[in-house]
Amino acid sequence: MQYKVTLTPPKPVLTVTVAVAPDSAQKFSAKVTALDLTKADLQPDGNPIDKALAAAAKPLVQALVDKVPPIIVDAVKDKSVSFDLDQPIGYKVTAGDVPITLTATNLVLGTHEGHLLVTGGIEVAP
Amino acid sequence: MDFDVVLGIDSASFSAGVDQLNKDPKSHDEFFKGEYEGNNAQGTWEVVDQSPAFEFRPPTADKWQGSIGPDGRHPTGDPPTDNVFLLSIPSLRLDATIGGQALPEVSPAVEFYARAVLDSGTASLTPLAIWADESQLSAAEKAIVNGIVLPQVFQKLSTVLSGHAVPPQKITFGGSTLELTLAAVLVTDSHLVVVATADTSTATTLPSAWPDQPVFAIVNHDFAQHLAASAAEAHKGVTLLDEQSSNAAASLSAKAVLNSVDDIAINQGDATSWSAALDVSFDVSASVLGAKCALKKSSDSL
Repeated sequence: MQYKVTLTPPKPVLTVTVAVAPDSAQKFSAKVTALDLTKADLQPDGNPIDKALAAAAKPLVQALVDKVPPIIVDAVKDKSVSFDLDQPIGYKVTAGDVPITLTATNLVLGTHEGHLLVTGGIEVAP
Repeated sequence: MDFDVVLGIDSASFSAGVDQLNKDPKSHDEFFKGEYEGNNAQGTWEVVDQSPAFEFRPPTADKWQGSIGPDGRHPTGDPPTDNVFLLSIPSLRLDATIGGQALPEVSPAVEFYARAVLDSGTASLTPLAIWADESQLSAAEKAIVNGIVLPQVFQKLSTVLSGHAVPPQKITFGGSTLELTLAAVLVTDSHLVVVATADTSTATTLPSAWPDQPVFAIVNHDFAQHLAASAAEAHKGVTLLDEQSSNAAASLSAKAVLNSVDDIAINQGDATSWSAALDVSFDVSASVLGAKCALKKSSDSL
Protein backbone atom coordinates (compact mmCIF):
# COMPACT_ATOMS: atom_id res chain seq x y z
CA MET A 1 0.00 0.00 0.00
CA GLN A 2 1.23 3.43 -0.86
CA TYR A 3 0.09 6.91 0.08
CA LYS A 4 0.99 10.41 -0.94
CA VAL A 5 1.21 13.03 1.80
CA THR A 6 -0.28 16.43 1.06
CA LEU A 7 0.43 19.33 3.38
CA THR A 8 -1.80 22.23 4.36
CA PRO A 9 -0.82 24.80 3.31
CA PRO A 10 1.20 23.25 0.49
CA LYS A 11 4.20 25.44 1.36
CA PRO A 12 4.01 26.18 5.08
CA VAL A 13 5.76 29.35 6.17
CA LEU A 14 8.05 29.83 9.12
CA THR A 15 7.85 33.18 10.94
CA VAL A 16 10.91 34.49 12.82
CA THR A 17 11.15 37.47 15.13
CA VAL A 18 14.42 39.28 15.76
CA ALA A 19 15.12 40.47 19.29
CA VAL A 20 17.91 41.85 21.45
CA ALA A 21 18.79 40.14 24.71
CA PRO A 22 17.72 42.08 27.83
CA ASP A 23 20.36 44.49 29.11
CA SER A 24 22.66 43.65 26.23
CA ALA A 25 24.14 45.71 23.42
CA GLN A 26 25.83 42.80 21.68
CA LYS A 27 23.57 39.72 21.81
CA PHE A 28 20.75 39.42 19.29
CA SER A 29 18.58 36.47 18.31
CA ALA A 30 16.20 35.32 15.61
CA LYS A 31 13.51 33.14 17.16
CA VAL A 32 10.88 31.05 15.40
CA THR A 33 7.48 32.25 16.54
CA ALA A 34 5.20 30.31 14.20
CA LEU A 35 5.01 27.61 11.54
CA ASP A 36 1.69 27.56 9.75
CA LEU A 37 1.65 23.81 9.06
CA THR A 38 -1.83 22.63 10.05
CA LYS A 39 -2.46 19.33 8.35
CA ALA A 40 -0.91 16.31 6.61
CA ASP A 41 -3.36 14.38 4.44
CA LEU A 42 -2.98 10.95 2.91
CA GLN A 43 -4.04 9.99 -0.58
CA PRO A 44 -3.95 6.34 -1.62
CA ASP A 45 -1.37 5.75 -4.33
CA GLY A 46 0.01 2.94 -6.46
CA ASN A 47 -1.77 0.47 -8.74
CA PRO A 48 -5.56 0.09 -8.58
CA ILE A 49 -5.38 -2.84 -6.18
CA ASP A 50 -2.93 -1.02 -3.87
CA LYS A 51 -5.12 2.05 -4.01
CA ALA A 52 -8.15 0.06 -3.00
CA LEU A 53 -6.31 -1.49 -0.08
CA ALA A 54 -4.79 1.82 0.92
CA ALA A 55 -8.17 3.52 0.78
CA ALA A 56 -9.60 0.87 3.07
CA ALA A 57 -6.77 1.31 5.58
CA LYS A 58 -6.56 5.11 5.29
CA PRO A 59 -8.66 6.04 8.37
CA LEU A 60 -6.41 3.93 10.57
CA VAL A 61 -3.15 5.40 9.22
CA GLN A 62 -4.51 8.96 8.92
CA ALA A 63 -5.26 8.95 12.63
CA LEU A 64 -1.54 8.48 13.26
CA VAL A 65 -0.42 10.91 10.56
CA ASP A 66 -2.66 13.59 12.11
CA LYS A 67 -0.25 13.67 15.03
CA VAL A 68 2.72 14.60 12.84
CA PRO A 69 2.05 18.32 12.08
CA PRO A 70 1.81 19.48 15.71
CA ILE A 71 4.95 17.49 16.57
CA ILE A 72 6.89 19.22 13.77
CA VAL A 73 5.50 22.62 14.75
CA ASP A 74 6.57 22.03 18.35
CA ALA A 75 10.01 20.89 17.19
CA VAL A 76 10.56 24.11 15.23
CA LYS A 77 8.77 26.72 17.34
CA ASP A 78 10.88 28.71 19.81
CA LYS A 79 14.10 27.54 18.17
CA SER A 80 16.47 30.49 17.90
CA VAL A 81 19.74 31.50 16.33
CA SER A 82 22.08 33.87 18.17
CA PHE A 83 23.91 36.72 16.49
CA ASP A 84 26.66 37.97 18.81
CA LEU A 85 28.82 41.04 18.30
CA ASP A 86 32.38 40.74 19.56
CA GLN A 87 31.90 43.97 21.49
CA PRO A 88 28.89 46.02 22.57
CA ILE A 89 27.49 48.74 20.29
CA GLY A 90 29.14 51.98 21.35
CA TYR A 91 32.60 53.52 21.48
CA LYS A 92 35.70 53.74 23.63
CA VAL A 93 37.78 56.54 25.04
CA THR A 94 41.31 55.73 26.11
CA ALA A 95 43.18 58.60 27.71
CA GLY A 96 46.21 57.83 29.81
CA ASP A 97 45.58 54.70 31.82
CA VAL A 98 41.84 55.27 32.11
CA PRO A 99 39.99 53.34 29.41
CA ILE A 100 36.28 54.10 29.27
CA THR A 101 33.73 52.06 27.36
CA LEU A 102 30.49 53.72 26.37
CA THR A 103 27.80 51.15 25.65
CA ALA A 104 24.44 51.47 23.97
CA THR A 105 21.59 50.88 26.38
CA ASN A 106 17.84 50.20 26.40
CA LEU A 107 17.99 48.96 22.82
CA VAL A 108 14.80 48.73 20.80
CA LEU A 109 14.46 47.10 17.39
CA GLY A 110 12.50 48.61 14.54
CA THR A 111 12.52 49.42 10.85
CA HIS A 112 14.13 52.28 8.97
CA GLU A 113 13.55 52.62 5.24
CA GLY A 114 13.06 48.85 5.04
CA HIS A 115 16.24 48.07 6.96
CA LEU A 116 16.57 46.59 10.45
CA LEU A 117 16.97 49.40 12.99
CA VAL A 118 18.41 49.28 16.50
CA THR A 119 18.02 52.38 18.67
CA GLY A 120 18.87 53.32 22.21
CA GLY A 121 20.82 55.57 24.50
CA ILE A 122 24.35 55.44 25.88
CA GLU A 123 25.85 54.69 29.27
CA VAL A 124 29.28 54.30 30.75
CA ALA A 125 29.99 50.60 31.05
CA PRO A 126 30.64 49.54 34.64
CA MET B 1 28.20 55.31 -0.61
CA ASP B 2 27.14 51.77 0.25
CA PHE B 3 26.70 50.11 3.62
CA ASP B 4 25.92 46.85 5.33
CA VAL B 5 25.77 48.30 8.84
CA VAL B 6 25.94 51.88 10.09
CA LEU B 7 26.30 53.13 13.64
CA GLY B 8 25.12 56.61 14.60
CA ILE B 9 25.95 58.42 17.85
CA ASP B 10 24.56 61.87 18.58
CA SER B 11 26.65 64.67 20.03
CA ALA B 12 25.30 64.31 23.57
CA SER B 13 26.04 60.58 23.59
CA PHE B 14 29.45 61.15 22.07
CA SER B 15 30.17 63.68 24.82
CA ALA B 16 29.54 61.13 27.56
CA GLY B 17 33.12 59.86 27.42
CA VAL B 18 34.63 63.33 27.85
CA ASP B 19 32.16 64.05 30.63
CA GLN B 20 33.16 60.86 32.43
CA LEU B 21 36.85 61.71 32.15
CA ASN B 22 36.28 65.26 33.35
CA LYS B 23 34.33 64.05 36.38
CA ASP B 24 37.00 61.51 37.33
CA PRO B 25 39.34 63.41 39.72
CA LYS B 26 42.51 61.70 38.50
CA SER B 27 41.69 62.22 34.82
CA HIS B 28 40.52 65.79 35.48
CA ASP B 29 43.85 66.63 37.05
CA GLU B 30 45.72 64.96 34.22
CA PHE B 31 43.87 66.34 31.20
CA PHE B 32 41.60 69.20 32.25
CA LYS B 33 43.92 71.43 34.26
CA GLY B 34 47.51 72.55 34.13
CA GLU B 35 50.19 74.98 35.20
CA TYR B 36 52.23 77.15 32.93
CA GLU B 37 55.29 79.35 33.12
CA GLY B 38 57.05 81.42 30.49
CA ASN B 39 57.44 84.89 29.01
CA ASN B 40 57.77 86.37 32.52
CA ALA B 41 54.36 84.92 33.40
CA GLN B 42 53.07 81.98 35.39
CA GLY B 43 49.69 80.65 36.37
CA THR B 44 47.17 77.85 36.11
CA TRP B 45 44.26 76.88 33.91
CA GLU B 46 41.36 74.51 34.53
CA VAL B 47 38.16 73.41 32.86
CA VAL B 48 35.46 74.44 35.34
CA ASP B 49 31.68 74.24 35.68
CA GLN B 50 30.14 72.37 32.73
CA SER B 51 31.99 69.50 31.12
CA PRO B 52 33.20 69.98 27.57
CA ALA B 53 30.66 68.80 25.00
CA PHE B 54 30.84 68.01 21.31
CA GLU B 55 28.85 70.07 18.84
CA PHE B 56 28.61 68.67 15.33
CA ARG B 57 29.29 71.86 13.39
CA PRO B 58 32.48 73.29 11.90
CA PRO B 59 34.14 76.49 13.17
CA THR B 60 33.19 79.88 11.78
CA ALA B 61 35.79 81.58 9.59
CA ASP B 62 36.58 84.18 12.27
CA LYS B 63 37.11 81.60 15.00
CA TRP B 64 39.10 79.29 12.74
CA GLN B 65 41.47 82.05 11.72
CA GLY B 66 41.76 83.16 15.35
CA SER B 67 42.53 79.65 16.59
CA ILE B 68 45.91 78.11 17.37
CA GLY B 69 47.00 75.03 15.45
CA PRO B 70 49.41 72.26 16.45
CA ASP B 71 52.31 74.44 15.27
CA GLY B 72 51.24 77.28 17.58
CA ARG B 73 50.20 79.46 14.67
CA HIS B 74 46.89 80.80 13.40
CA PRO B 75 45.51 78.74 10.50
CA THR B 76 44.83 80.65 7.31
CA GLY B 77 42.11 80.33 4.70
CA ASP B 78 38.57 79.05 4.99
CA PRO B 79 37.74 76.71 7.86
CA PRO B 80 37.61 73.01 7.00
CA THR B 81 34.13 71.56 6.81
CA ASP B 82 34.64 67.91 5.86
CA ASN B 83 33.77 65.87 8.98
CA VAL B 84 35.02 68.74 11.17
CA PHE B 85 33.27 69.57 14.42
CA LEU B 86 34.09 71.11 17.76
CA LEU B 87 34.41 70.35 21.43
CA SER B 88 32.90 73.25 23.33
CA ILE B 89 34.51 74.15 26.66
CA PRO B 90 32.14 76.68 28.21
CA SER B 91 34.54 77.92 30.84
CA LEU B 92 38.33 77.67 31.03
CA ARG B 93 39.43 79.37 34.26
CA LEU B 94 42.75 81.17 33.95
CA ASP B 95 44.85 82.89 36.53
CA ALA B 96 48.08 84.60 35.69
CA THR B 97 50.88 86.47 37.36
CA ILE B 98 52.92 88.70 35.10
CA GLY B 99 56.12 90.19 36.41
CA GLY B 100 55.08 89.26 39.95
CA GLN B 101 51.71 91.00 39.62
CA ALA B 102 48.56 88.85 39.78
CA LEU B 103 45.95 89.56 37.13
CA PRO B 104 42.20 89.16 37.74
CA GLU B 105 40.95 85.64 37.12
CA VAL B 106 39.21 85.16 33.75
CA SER B 107 37.20 82.24 32.33
CA PRO B 108 36.89 82.47 28.55
CA ALA B 109 34.93 80.00 26.47
CA VAL B 110 37.10 77.71 24.39
CA GLU B 111 36.42 75.65 21.26
CA PHE B 112 38.56 72.70 20.22
CA TYR B 113 38.27 71.72 16.56
CA ALA B 114 38.72 68.14 15.39
CA ARG B 115 38.05 65.97 12.39
CA ALA B 116 36.52 62.48 12.39
CA VAL B 117 38.71 60.10 10.39
CA LEU B 118 39.31 56.46 9.66
CA ASP B 119 42.68 55.41 11.01
CA SER B 120 43.89 51.81 10.65
CA GLY B 121 40.34 50.59 10.24
CA THR B 122 39.04 52.39 13.32
CA ALA B 123 36.99 55.57 13.48
CA SER B 124 38.85 58.15 15.52
CA LEU B 125 39.45 61.90 15.88
CA THR B 126 42.27 64.12 14.68
CA PRO B 127 42.81 67.34 16.68
CA LEU B 128 43.04 70.42 14.42
CA ALA B 129 43.12 73.67 16.39
CA ILE B 130 41.92 75.44 19.52
CA TRP B 131 40.25 78.82 19.93
CA ALA B 132 39.49 80.99 22.98
CA ASP B 133 37.06 83.87 23.32
CA GLU B 134 39.50 86.72 23.92
CA SER B 135 36.92 89.49 23.76
CA GLN B 136 37.24 90.20 27.49
CA LEU B 137 41.01 89.74 27.73
CA SER B 138 43.70 92.37 27.90
CA ALA B 139 46.56 92.43 25.42
CA ALA B 140 48.86 90.86 28.01
CA GLU B 141 46.34 88.11 28.75
CA LYS B 142 45.86 87.42 25.03
CA ALA B 143 49.60 86.99 24.64
CA ILE B 144 49.69 84.46 27.48
CA VAL B 145 46.57 82.63 26.26
CA ASN B 146 47.72 82.35 22.65
CA GLY B 147 51.40 81.84 23.33
CA ILE B 148 51.37 79.51 26.32
CA VAL B 149 47.96 78.37 27.57
CA LEU B 150 46.17 77.30 24.40
CA PRO B 151 49.09 75.20 23.09
CA GLN B 152 49.20 73.43 26.46
CA VAL B 153 45.42 72.87 26.55
CA PHE B 154 45.62 71.68 22.94
CA GLN B 155 48.28 69.15 23.84
CA LYS B 156 46.44 67.78 26.86
CA LEU B 157 42.98 67.59 25.30
CA SER B 158 44.44 66.14 22.11
CA THR B 159 45.14 63.04 24.16
CA VAL B 160 41.48 62.87 25.12
CA LEU B 161 40.19 63.47 21.60
CA SER B 162 42.65 61.09 19.97
CA GLY B 163 41.59 58.46 22.50
CA HIS B 164 38.08 58.26 21.01
CA ALA B 165 37.57 55.17 18.91
CA VAL B 166 34.74 53.29 17.26
CA PRO B 167 36.32 49.93 16.42
CA PRO B 168 35.09 47.52 13.73
CA GLN B 169 32.84 44.64 14.75
CA LYS B 170 32.63 40.92 14.18
CA ILE B 171 29.35 39.01 14.12
CA THR B 172 29.31 35.40 15.27
CA PHE B 173 26.36 33.14 14.53
CA GLY B 174 25.85 29.42 14.10
CA GLY B 175 29.56 28.70 14.27
CA SER B 176 30.42 31.31 11.63
CA THR B 177 31.99 34.73 12.00
CA LEU B 178 31.53 37.72 9.71
CA GLU B 179 33.92 40.64 9.94
CA LEU B 180 32.72 44.18 9.32
CA THR B 181 35.19 46.63 7.84
CA LEU B 182 34.77 50.34 8.47
CA ALA B 183 34.35 52.06 5.11
CA ALA B 184 33.70 55.67 6.07
CA VAL B 185 32.92 58.06 8.88
CA LEU B 186 30.47 60.93 8.45
CA VAL B 187 29.52 63.84 10.63
CA THR B 188 25.94 65.00 10.13
CA ASP B 189 24.23 67.89 11.88
CA SER B 190 23.27 65.59 14.73
CA HIS B 191 25.24 62.35 14.60
CA LEU B 192 28.64 60.84 14.08
CA VAL B 193 27.92 58.05 11.60
CA VAL B 194 30.27 55.13 11.05
CA VAL B 195 29.70 53.13 7.87
CA ALA B 196 30.73 49.46 7.71
CA THR B 197 30.62 46.82 5.01
CA ALA B 198 31.11 43.06 4.97
CA ASP B 199 32.56 40.83 2.29
CA THR B 200 29.11 39.61 1.33
CA SER B 201 28.29 41.63 -1.83
CA THR B 202 25.18 42.91 -0.11
CA ALA B 203 26.14 46.55 0.49
CA THR B 204 23.53 49.02 -0.64
CA THR B 205 23.03 52.79 -0.80
CA LEU B 206 22.89 54.68 2.49
CA PRO B 207 19.43 55.61 3.78
CA SER B 208 18.05 58.93 2.58
CA ALA B 209 17.57 60.13 6.18
CA TRP B 210 18.95 59.22 9.58
CA PRO B 211 16.98 58.26 12.69
CA ASP B 212 16.63 60.86 15.46
CA GLN B 213 17.45 58.56 18.37
CA PRO B 214 20.66 59.22 20.38
CA VAL B 215 22.27 55.95 19.29
CA PHE B 216 21.26 53.87 16.31
CA ALA B 217 22.49 51.00 14.20
CA ILE B 218 21.00 50.16 10.82
CA VAL B 219 21.46 46.71 9.32
CA ASN B 220 21.04 46.69 5.56
CA HIS B 221 17.99 44.62 4.50
CA ASP B 222 20.02 42.43 2.12
CA PHE B 223 22.81 41.93 4.66
CA ALA B 224 20.28 40.84 7.29
CA GLN B 225 18.85 38.42 4.74
CA HIS B 226 22.35 37.11 4.08
CA LEU B 227 22.84 36.56 7.83
CA ALA B 228 19.51 34.73 8.02
CA ALA B 229 20.37 32.52 5.05
CA SER B 230 23.82 31.73 6.44
CA ALA B 231 22.39 30.88 9.84
CA ALA B 232 19.73 28.70 8.21
CA GLU B 233 22.38 26.85 6.23
CA ALA B 234 23.83 25.65 9.52
CA HIS B 235 20.55 23.85 10.25
CA LYS B 236 20.54 21.87 7.03
CA GLY B 237 20.15 18.15 7.74
CA VAL B 238 18.64 18.66 11.18
CA THR B 239 16.11 15.99 12.17
CA LEU B 240 12.81 17.64 13.00
CA LEU B 241 10.86 14.50 13.76
CA ASP B 242 11.79 10.92 14.59
CA GLU B 243 8.68 9.34 16.05
CA GLN B 244 7.03 6.01 16.32
CA SER B 245 3.38 5.79 17.30
CA SER B 246 0.61 3.28 17.14
CA ASN B 247 -3.03 2.70 17.90
CA ALA B 248 -5.13 -0.47 18.17
CA ALA B 249 -5.12 -1.04 14.44
CA ALA B 250 -1.95 0.57 13.01
CA SER B 251 1.57 1.67 13.82
CA LEU B 252 3.51 4.52 12.25
CA SER B 253 7.21 5.28 12.02
CA ALA B 254 7.97 8.80 10.84
CA LYS B 255 11.19 10.73 10.35
CA ALA B 256 11.38 14.28 8.98
CA VAL B 257 14.67 15.93 8.04
CA LEU B 258 15.19 19.59 7.15
CA ASN B 259 16.66 19.72 3.63
CA SER B 260 16.90 23.50 3.36
CA VAL B 261 15.34 26.81 4.33
CA ASP B 262 14.11 28.59 1.21
CA ASP B 263 12.51 31.87 0.23
CA ILE B 264 13.91 33.76 3.21
CA ALA B 265 12.28 37.18 3.31
CA ILE B 266 12.50 40.16 5.62
CA ASN B 267 9.28 42.10 6.00
CA GLN B 268 9.82 45.52 4.41
CA GLY B 269 7.34 47.14 6.80
CA ASP B 270 8.65 45.36 9.89
CA ALA B 271 12.29 44.33 9.48
CA THR B 272 12.20 42.46 12.80
CA SER B 273 9.85 39.90 11.24
CA TRP B 274 11.41 37.34 8.90
CA SER B 275 9.82 34.42 7.07
CA ALA B 276 10.96 31.33 5.20
CA ALA B 277 9.73 28.06 3.76
CA LEU B 278 11.14 24.77 5.03
CA ASP B 279 11.98 21.98 2.62
CA VAL B 280 11.53 18.79 4.60
CA SER B 281 11.87 15.19 3.46
CA PHE B 282 9.74 12.48 5.05
CA ASP B 283 10.56 8.86 5.63
CA VAL B 284 7.33 7.31 6.83
CA SER B 285 6.17 3.74 7.09
CA ALA B 286 3.00 2.26 8.53
CA SER B 287 1.89 -1.15 9.53
CA VAL B 288 -1.83 -1.89 9.37
CA LEU B 289 -3.23 -5.15 10.67
CA GLY B 290 0.15 -6.71 10.10
CA ALA B 291 0.57 -5.35 6.55
CA LYS B 292 3.21 -2.71 5.87
CA CYS B 293 2.65 0.30 3.72
CA ALA B 294 4.95 3.17 2.71
CA LEU B 295 4.07 6.83 2.68
CA LYS B 296 5.81 9.39 0.63
CA LYS B 297 5.60 13.10 0.68
CA SER B 298 4.12 14.78 -2.34
CA SER B 299 5.03 18.34 -1.49
CA ASP B 300 8.58 19.61 -1.99
CA SER B 301 8.28 22.17 0.73
CA LEU B 302 7.11 21.99 4.25
